[in-house]
Order: sequence, then structure tokens, then C-alpha cells
Amino acid sequence: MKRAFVLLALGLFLHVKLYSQISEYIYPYSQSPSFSNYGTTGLIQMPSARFYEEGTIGFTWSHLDPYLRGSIMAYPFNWFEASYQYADVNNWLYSPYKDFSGNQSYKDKSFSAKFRLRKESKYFPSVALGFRDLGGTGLFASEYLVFSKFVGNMDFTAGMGWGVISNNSISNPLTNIDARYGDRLVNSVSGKGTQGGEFNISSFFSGEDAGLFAGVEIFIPKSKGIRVKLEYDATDYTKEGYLPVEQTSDFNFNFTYPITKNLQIKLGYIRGNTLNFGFSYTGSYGKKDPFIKKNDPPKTVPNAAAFRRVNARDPRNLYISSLKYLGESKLYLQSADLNESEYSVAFSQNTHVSYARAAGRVARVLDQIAPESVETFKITNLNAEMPLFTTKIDRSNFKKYEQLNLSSALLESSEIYKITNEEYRGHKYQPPSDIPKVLSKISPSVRSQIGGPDGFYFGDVSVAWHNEILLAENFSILAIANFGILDNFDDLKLASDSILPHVRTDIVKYLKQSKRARVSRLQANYFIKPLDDIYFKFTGGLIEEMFGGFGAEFLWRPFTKNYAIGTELWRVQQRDYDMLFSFRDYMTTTGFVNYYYAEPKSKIMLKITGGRFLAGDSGIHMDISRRFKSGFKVGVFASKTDISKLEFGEGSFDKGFYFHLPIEVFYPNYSKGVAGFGLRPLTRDGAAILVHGHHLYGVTDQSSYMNILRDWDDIYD
Amino acid sequence: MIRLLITFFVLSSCSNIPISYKDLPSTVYRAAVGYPEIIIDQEAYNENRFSFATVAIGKSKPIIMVLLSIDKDTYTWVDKEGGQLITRNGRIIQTVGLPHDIEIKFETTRKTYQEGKFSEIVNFNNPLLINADLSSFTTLEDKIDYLYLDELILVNVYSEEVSISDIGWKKENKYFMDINNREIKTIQFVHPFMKEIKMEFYYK
Repeated sequence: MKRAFVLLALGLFLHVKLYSQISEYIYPYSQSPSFSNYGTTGLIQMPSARFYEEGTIGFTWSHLDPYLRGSIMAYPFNWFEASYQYADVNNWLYSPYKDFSGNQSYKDKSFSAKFRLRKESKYFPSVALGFRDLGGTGLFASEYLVFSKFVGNMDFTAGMGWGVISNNSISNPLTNIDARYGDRLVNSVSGKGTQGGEFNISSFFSGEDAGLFAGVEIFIPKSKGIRVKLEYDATDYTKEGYLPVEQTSDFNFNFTYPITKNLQIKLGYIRGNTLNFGFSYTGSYGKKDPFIKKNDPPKTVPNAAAFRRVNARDPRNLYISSLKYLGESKLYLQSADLNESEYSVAFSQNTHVSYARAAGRVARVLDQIAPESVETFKITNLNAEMPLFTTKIDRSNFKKYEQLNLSSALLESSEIYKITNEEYRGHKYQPPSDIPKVLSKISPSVRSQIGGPDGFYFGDVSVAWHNEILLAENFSILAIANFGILDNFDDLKLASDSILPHVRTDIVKYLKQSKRARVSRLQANYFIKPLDDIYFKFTGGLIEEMFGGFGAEFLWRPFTKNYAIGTELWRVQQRDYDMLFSFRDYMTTTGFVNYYYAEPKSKIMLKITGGRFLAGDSGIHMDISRRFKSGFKVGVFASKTDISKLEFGEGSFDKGFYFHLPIEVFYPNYSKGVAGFGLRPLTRDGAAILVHGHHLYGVTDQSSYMNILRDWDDIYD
Repeated sequence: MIRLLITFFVLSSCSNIPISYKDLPSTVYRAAVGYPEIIIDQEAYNENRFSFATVAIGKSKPIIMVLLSIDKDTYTWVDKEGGQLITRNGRIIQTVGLPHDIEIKFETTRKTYQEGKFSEIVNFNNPLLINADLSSFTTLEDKIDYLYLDELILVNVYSEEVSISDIGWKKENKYFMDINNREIKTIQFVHPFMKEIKMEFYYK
């Protein structure tokens, strides 16, 4: 086998440099790294020091007996890869008790992370440090230092691993620094490890042995991007998983074929005795219009010159034509005021993710219909009838810079600030409103429960009927009713073992008893902005699927600062399992102080929440996220409260991650919908937070000078 | 232990308070049923004042491009955004505004319906590829009845095998020409990283 490896490597000669542009045709998609079977960029079983560009998310699936793995990856930065894996361990039962889990195989889940320490240069390789199976049971736990370097059409990788990556071993060199590194906690089957969910930092880079690995990814010329991979595998298959797996060769082989830039399939021969198949899908969503070029240009007002003449005669003509033509662009005029050469308008919109683009489109309409005497536009963006920011634009500059899309020059001559409530309410023209009004939409809804002892997947599909009854612009009743279509919840039977109040772990009862019909939410919201930078929300009703009650939220958000502070207080009662209108006995008071900090350069958002959680435990919840230009957001969260690991149960503490992806990235038109995906590996009662809609920080997102600047280059879109 | 994956796909913008004039987003509907094809019957044809073409790249939403200018055999088609397809006997010889633009330095005496082997030069951008040798081999493949503006007409179907050996790229294009060798419909691959471009031509 070794001979075959060498012959094949020699047979594939070094071809032209991959970085020249013709090479991008000869080796298409060569800039998209491929994935290892562990769901991170890499060779076959071994990792590499390659990364996708920031803003990329992906999914991989691979089958290598006895493991079947699915992974979700995210790249919040060019130098950071985070992934979450589910592994179906086919040579081990979920539990020894048939009554508990039948014949179901064990399902393992884990986090992995990889950091790039050094970018590849002409002479030096890319260097990365990685961690597999962080915070899991440790069945596949390993750490590695890896180097990757392109030479012609070959991408060479070599590295050293610890933990499971320690076959063909050398003595752990770190034991020369400190003897502590010689002792490593192993996975839970031995009884020496953790029960899962903890970051076992003391075990990092430890163990008597370390493993050396190496390999190469060869890009075959003129073959639609096919790569051949060869590697010297340092996995210790006696340490991995629950049972040792037979290995007859240290060399692995693989073909990877990129069907498109985003989709790769692979076929390999591993350990000298096992075929391996898998695929991966990745997408880069961070940049502006990442998928489809927008074809949603600003609307042109017909006979605009005539409108300008007519509107010069009477301000009311201007107000009415503004209402009509802004409305045709889905920009809804709420008030207007013509004061000599300055025309002020306030509007609401629910189409544009970019606040600057919305304001820019208002300016384009006004520029077409406003009389020539108007020199300045004052455009105020509203949400829930609260003025959130105002852009004062010089009309002549707006036109002058429009042709060349000189948004930076326009910014120089524009003002961005907040107007007072009084100024907004003092506008002379307030269009008639059709409130009260009911806004409805229907969408599909999916609930899933994966990896439990009763079976791998349980889920339901329902139709969600969303209604928002507007009683005033700042007072609405939000109602969401779901009607079940399909489910397989009947075999779901696991009861909660939590010793805390069952605020979340009765999920099985909720799922089963609410599968035909449920009221997911029925809540009244009232928003008020009594002072500059001060916002309140009052809410009452069926606030979320498991709790109803009433409460209030307060937010202080200074317009020019990148931080905000809020509080919230709720008195809630647990809803009955059928999720209709009755309640259970459990009542509690929950509340938090929230601190928000947005770092403008990296676009990292930090939210720290401290207070009393639903189960009565007190502690801290931290959420770190990054927002990209497209509006794509990826974040992680973790909580630690004053309950013990024993009280919390499996997982030790609450944690998870989420993505928010604007659906407009898939369409040629602008829209403000968001597709969300969130994952919390374990449902426990500790650190449970009330999920109430319309958080003030989101509602007032426009009320941030930093956010307006972030979007400013969209003003001429 | 209960292992719950909270998976939710929602279509909402929870931070935005709906406003009284809000419209329902149509994106959910489009995601479910896709984009309809543009059907050009005699009535639709009559409604257009200028020559036009329906254009679709891969499975994307079809668009209408209008004939902007004619320079001898070279026709320039434009869309609303200013994108351009420049054709010669229906064959795309230049694109402007696509994710991967091309320009063929064409053989001036060549007709699209001319059978035989031809060698030309092509430039690609994104990524840049200058003066690549483009080989093509055209044959008359079939004669079929084709429904065009509510009528069945006889068309010749030409197959053109295009290849650039330097980069190992090879594709087959189709040209549907009426009995006067005027293009009716074409299906062309013009760039290795782009799906096929389908065009149907309607001349005035």
C-alpha cells in the first residue's frame, strides 16, 4: 500500500501554479477547500490548515463504518472555523436498556474549532491549531497543530496531533515542558472522563503520545476540479469511539469531485479495509448580494416634471403625491412637512434590510416629485411609530453624486441624527390611517427533536397562521396559530428527569399534546419612546409556547454610542401541554439586566444578560454574534447559573449557536424576511429564558449611528 | 436525557413592527412554486413595439431583452439593468454585465448555420483568460416542427460542439434556425462557470 501511495504521488506531476488565472479554469473551485470525515476542512481523516472565507456556512455528511457523521460548519472570520457534529456510532447501543432506547445506536454530538495562526505566504505554509470534540463526551477528542502549503497543483499538509490523533506515535513533546501533559482524561467509557458538555481544558495537548500525520490533495488538471487525496493517517482507532475499529493500513485514499462551487461529493478507501462516501455543501453569505444580483431598481415616477410643477402650487399636492409614490415603492409615509426649502418626511418600511437604502429610495422619489424650490430633504425612519434616525440630505449633492454612486461624498455633506418625538409629531401632514388593521400571512413551520433515546428523529410539520392586529401604529396584538399536518411524535415517550421545575424538559409532553393545533403566541405589545434614547415595551398574553403572563422591557440606547443597557421583568405562568389557553400551576417572576456592545470594526455584537431565569436559577447568559454586510448573522451563546452540574444534568451548562440568514440573498428583489436556524444540543431547565417577540434592541436597531454608517454605501442602491 | 435540536425555519422579521400599509411578501410563494416561464404568443408578440428576446440562464427567472442596435450581422440585446448580450446569427459573441463575461473574436465569414470545424479566439473575464483558442464543430442535427408564435414551423437544429483544450472545457450548443436560417431559439454554453443561456428571438 505504501508503494502504491508513492507511485501515485510521483505519477501526478507538478502542474502550473494554481494562483494564475488560467489555473482557475484548469482547476476549477480550487480555492474551495474540501472536508475531512470529521466535518472540518481537511484531507480524509486528518485536518488541514485551510479555511473558507468569512461568512460561509456549510453542511457535510459522511459514512465511514462504523460512523455516520453530519456536521454544520460556520466561518465567522477567515481565521476561525466552528463546527457542530452529530455522529451515529453504529457499534454501540444508545443504552444497555432495551426498554429505554430499543436497538438504537449511540448518537454522539460535539463541537470542534480551528484557528488559523498564520496565513500562507510564498515560502511559509498556513498554520492552524484545532480542537475536535470540544464539550462533548470526548469519544473523538483530539487537538492538532497543522501546516498546509500549496506547491503547484498540490496542497501538502502535515501536522501533529494529540488525543485520538496519536497513532504511529512519538512521545508527547510537551511532557518535556511539563509532566502534567503526560496524563490525559479519556472518554466516558473508561469512567475517567466527564459526563459530557464540559470543555476539558486540562486534557488539551496531553497524553503520553502524540501522532504525526501528513498528506496531499492533488488537483487533477482539466478534470472539472477533481482532487485526489492521499494521507498518512495518525488516528488511533483503539482510542476512538467506544469499541476499537480494525485498521489494516495507515494510508487512506479519496476522490473529491466538486459538482459546483458549493457542492462536493467524495469517495474514499480508508484504513485499508473500508469504503467511505460523503458530500458537503457550503455557501458564502457574508458579502453584499452574495447569491443573486438584485434586479429591484428604484421606481421612476411617470411625468415627474409635471408633478414638480403641480406640487409647487400647494404643499398638500406634494404631501399626497409623496404618499402615493412612496407607497408604490413600499415606503409608507407617516408624516410630512414642507417648510420653505426644507421638506421633512417620516416613513416606515418593511422591505429593506439596509436602513440607508430605504432612506435613499425615499430621497429618490422626493427628488422626482418635489418642487425645485426644495433644497433639503429630512428623512426620518420610523418603527412602531418611534422616530429612530433622521438623514438630512442636500438635494443638489444627492443628484450630483448619484451618477457615480459616490455615497462617501454624500455622507460628507449629509447629517445623520435623531429628531425628537415633538418634532415628528409637529409635522403638518399626517396621512389618514386604515388602522385598526389585520395583517396575516401563512408559512410552514417545523419542530424537530433529534438524537434522543426514543429514536433519531422526531418532528412535525404544521401550517403557521400569523396575524398581527394593529390597534395603533405602536400597539399590536400578535397571534400565531399552528395546525399540524404531519408528525411522528407517537413513539416519543421519554419523560423529564430534571430535579428543577420543568420549565423546558417537559418538551415531549408539549410536542405530543399540541401536535394537532396550538396557539404558539397571542401577545399584545405596546411601544413607547418617552424620552430621547429611552424605549419601553409592555407585553401581555401567551408570550411563548410554554409560558404566558405579562411584563415590560426598558432600553436605553444612546444614538451615537455602540452600547445599550436594558432591563426586563416578567410575571409568567406555565402553559398547559396542549398549548391552548389553560395554564399549569407553576408561576414565577423572571427578569434581567441586559448589556449590549457592538464593536464597529469587526461587527461583533456582545450581549450579556444577568438575572433570574425561568426555573428560579440566577446567573449570566452571554451571546456573541457577528453580522455581515448581507445581513447574515452567526452567533453562539452560553449560560452559567447558580445551580450545580448535577442539578443542570447532562451537558453541564446551557450552550448553542444560531444563524440568521436574510431570505433576500436568494432572490432578485429586496425583502426583510429572515430564515433562522438555531441549535441547542440539550434541552435542560437551567438557564431557560422567556422567549418574547419584538425585543426592543431589535425594534430599535435603526437607532444606532454605527448601523446607519454600516449601511451607508447602499444609499444609491 | 432528552436531546433536543431546536430547529426552526421561520420567515419573519421579528424586529420590525408591521406597518399599516404592509404587503405580504411573495417570496414564500416563489420559493415553493418557482418562476413561471415567459410565454410569447401572437398577442404578447404584438404588444411589444421592438424586437426582443426571452433569456434565461440555467433555471433562473427568465427576462426580456430588447434589441438595442444592429450593426451588419451583429445584434445587441439589452435588459433593464444595462446588461448586454451581443449575438451574430443567434450565436452569443460577447456579453456585458454577466458574472462571467466573454468576448469571441469571431471569424467574420462564418455563419452559425455553416457546418464544419472553426477556430476562433475567446477572452473570458472573472477569472481572466486572454486569447484562448476556441474550437467549434457544427453539424446539422435534425429538422423538427417547432411551435413559434402559435404556429408550427419547420426548423433546422444545428449542434455546435465548442471546446477550449487549454483548460479542458467542452460543451454542446444548439441552434434552432427557421428555413431562412434566421435564429428562433438557441441554447448556448458560453463560459465554463456559467449555466446554459437559453434565448428565444422575436423580431419586428
